Amino acid sequence: MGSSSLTSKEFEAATELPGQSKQVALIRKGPRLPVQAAKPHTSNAAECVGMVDTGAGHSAVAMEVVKQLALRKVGETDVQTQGGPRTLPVYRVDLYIEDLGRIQIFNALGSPWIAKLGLGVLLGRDALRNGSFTYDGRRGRYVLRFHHQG
Amino acid sequence: MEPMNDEAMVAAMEFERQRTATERDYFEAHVQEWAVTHSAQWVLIKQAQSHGFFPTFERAFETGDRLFPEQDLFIKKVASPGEAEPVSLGLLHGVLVVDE
Repeated sequence: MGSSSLTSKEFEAATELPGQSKQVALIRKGPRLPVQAAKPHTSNAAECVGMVDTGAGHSAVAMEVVKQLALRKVGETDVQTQGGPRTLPVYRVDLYIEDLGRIQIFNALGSPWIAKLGLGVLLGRDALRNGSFTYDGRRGRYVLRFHHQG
Repeated sequence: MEPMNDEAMVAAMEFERQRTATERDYFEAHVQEWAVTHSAQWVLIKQAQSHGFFPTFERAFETGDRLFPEQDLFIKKVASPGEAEPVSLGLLHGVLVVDE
């Protein structure tokens, strides 16, 4: 029987203005964190900004990152947007978070929108399937925990 | 990471669409019949041939990865026309994008 381990890391919101509280910074910018996106089985990797979005079922990767890493396309998904239904490409990508390890994403949506928000990756509920996410709005902090099978 | 301008993004999305154009054409030619026999399953297509229907995307990917390692694949859920899922209410409906 394999062993399992738990990794945990606390993040705090980065303030943008003098005197701005971490509480307000987290409200404004959301739970952002540094993420390395990588093409599996290659040395193609990119450092980018990720954000946890528990409202999203699928993780997403910016098309700019898709192009930079030459990610493997593995399908398409129809999504509902404000402008109506739209078909988006999906990709196989690995995400690495320092101290937390690798998260395998088998069907990340290729997003034409998130780079304009300063994001390379959106971590949806699929990224959290082996983890937990605790949002502490009062302190402007949040914690990610992941279970790893050994 | 610099965001692409609108023109570059349109070109990039079209390039990505064309990567699996043969597979998409095959999917669209058969999706109505599959909606009767394999509703809500995931189909794996390579070139103009289906390689099975699966209960999850991950199962379809495992098979596709074994048959066609490192190659592009076309895996898509068999759904009724017009059936699409909301991916993120915040992102797609503009809640996150508020200028203050």
